[in-house]
Amino acid sequence: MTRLIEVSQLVKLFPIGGTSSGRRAPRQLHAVDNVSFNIDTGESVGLVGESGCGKSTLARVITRLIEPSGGDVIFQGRNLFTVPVKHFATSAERAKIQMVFQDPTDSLNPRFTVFDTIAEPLRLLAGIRDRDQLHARVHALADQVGLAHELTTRFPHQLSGGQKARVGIARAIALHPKLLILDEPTSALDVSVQAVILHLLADLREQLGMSYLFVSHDLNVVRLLCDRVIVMYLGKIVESGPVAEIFRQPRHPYTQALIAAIPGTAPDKKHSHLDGEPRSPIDPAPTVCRLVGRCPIATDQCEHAAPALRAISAKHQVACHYAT
Amino acid sequence: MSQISKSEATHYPAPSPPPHAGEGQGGGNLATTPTRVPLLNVENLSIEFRTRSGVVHALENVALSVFKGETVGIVGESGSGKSVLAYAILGLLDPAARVISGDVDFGGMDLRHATESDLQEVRGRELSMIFQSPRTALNPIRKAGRQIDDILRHHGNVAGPAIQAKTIELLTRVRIPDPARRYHAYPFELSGGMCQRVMIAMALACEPALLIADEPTTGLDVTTQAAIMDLIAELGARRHMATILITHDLGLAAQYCDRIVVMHAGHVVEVADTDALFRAPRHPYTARLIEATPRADRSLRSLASIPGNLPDLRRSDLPACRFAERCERRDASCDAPLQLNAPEPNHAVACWKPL
Repeated sequence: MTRLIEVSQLVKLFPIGGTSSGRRAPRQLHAVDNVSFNIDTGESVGLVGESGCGKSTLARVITRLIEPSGGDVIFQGRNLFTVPVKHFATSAERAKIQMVFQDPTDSLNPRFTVFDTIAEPLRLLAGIRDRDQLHARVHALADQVGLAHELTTRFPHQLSGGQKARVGIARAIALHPKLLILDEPTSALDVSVQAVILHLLADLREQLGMSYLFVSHDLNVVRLLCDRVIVMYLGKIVESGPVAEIFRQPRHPYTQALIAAIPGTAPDKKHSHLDGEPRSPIDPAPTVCRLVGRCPIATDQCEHAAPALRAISAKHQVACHYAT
Repeated sequence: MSQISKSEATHYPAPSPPPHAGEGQGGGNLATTPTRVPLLNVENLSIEFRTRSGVVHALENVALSVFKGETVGIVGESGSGKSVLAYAILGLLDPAARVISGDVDFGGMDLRHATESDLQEVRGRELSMIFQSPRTALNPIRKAGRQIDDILRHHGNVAGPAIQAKTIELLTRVRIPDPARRYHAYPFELSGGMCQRVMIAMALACEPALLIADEPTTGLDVTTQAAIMDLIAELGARRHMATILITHDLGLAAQYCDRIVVMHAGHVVEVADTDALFRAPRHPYTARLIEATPRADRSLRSLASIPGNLPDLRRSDLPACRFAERCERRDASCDAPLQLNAPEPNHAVACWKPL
């Protein structure tokens, strides 16, 4: 497989409560802290972690909805960050990286009909102006995501949650993207609808040969749709590897707790807890492992040297001193 | 329209009490008699909402019984009436709601006909609730600790300076780190998990006999969810408190409930012990719901979906079985008025063609 996107040493800091008088340097919230990973063509990668771990920020930096503080994103051999923000909105790369947003209601313009919503990227980026051509394309996309044609004249408030999710997906695939970033696409849906949308996403990936970056906190959903998982904790990647391997034998204590916390239909009341609250992401000490304070196996070493991501097998990496 | 729903009304026999309910949680030494009185008994409850676009038949002939010390899960898709049922029990229904029929008995008290002042005495003391979103359920401009104080003061368990001490003790018990400092925190200064713990501390302040937890962990991370649920289960077991867990997450219900009630479009469609329900669901809807839930031993290929949507509850021609239009087992016999039958002990199902 060829490499589609290469994210290297990506950093996103948010300044907090900076003083304008300059007496004190503003404190920095480390949302994404030196994150590197790759996605191959046709590969589906899951990005999991608790809320506040920086997974949505990472997705937004890659799509350039927010600007990075440092690092590079190489997409098909071209560094995205060399394109000025002003021109990115109309660049060819923009069409190739598309996103499906978390809340199907909030991410649709309430005053756009379904037709307008799906036609928007076609008008702006593909430059299709001809009415008949637009109609044909929109209807073909509606068919592709299983949306009845008569629904295209409706407004978002006239649609159900599942239908809105389909509109968001149709809009995202309108330009035949190479990489589709899905930010919790099913978290607002009921299980019955979720199952339908997951099947749809799997089928579309096969038909269109897209790569997925699937951001979610639901590990059971990630497992169904992804080849590889990246686990983030407080802005850092703590573990990454093939889905089956991570689920069968998680190496990082955080991943272990995350997997143990999934409520199962097989009643098993024992699970390893992460006690306490996460450390503050504001100006974290660079030499302390981020999990210290919640980690069941932390020692002095973890407070003096932050573990780096290291390979424990060809495809499996983990950032823990004690993972074997 | 109310006449229609009345003429359709059929009597649902209350499901027979499970022999292991109540005190039997830990050991089988308590030979319980089948005539044990449930702590909460809801029978034949029908509720409508009058809206501008028509009358919504939100609940129809719903029956529910909860015994002392047991955890009962109520599961179903959004819009199936789970929260309406909880609000009806607590007497917190919207003014647009009308209770058509039914009884709500809580420890011998008739909650449906109770006065507001009687209800206020019961709510928070004997019967308390954890609301769906902790951030909006807490008062944003009052310190978290003070909000717990209010409950303690109102129900007169403690007085004076002892109140604050008791609140801090409660915050400690729900494992809020640094409780003396967090007492003075406003809800916006606390994380979602922490706000949820404050809600739990509040709900448990007066050691209620029944706790209703409405999606207590929706929007929280799995790790926080596990901690919160373990906390509720542990406190429940220690105080012999009954819990109603309302959730759309079958995995969560499977892990924490003794018995599960499945709702669909305002009907109770199946009631069974948790193990039996997951091992051998009888209602086609329950079976579909279980098959649609992603879990560790399931591939995407084997993930089923449920055809169609919930029927529009404003319709005046709602079928006797509200699942019929989505059901592949449907035939002419499904048009007969529905009953909650018990094909085997402790397993009731409202279906003419059960699995």
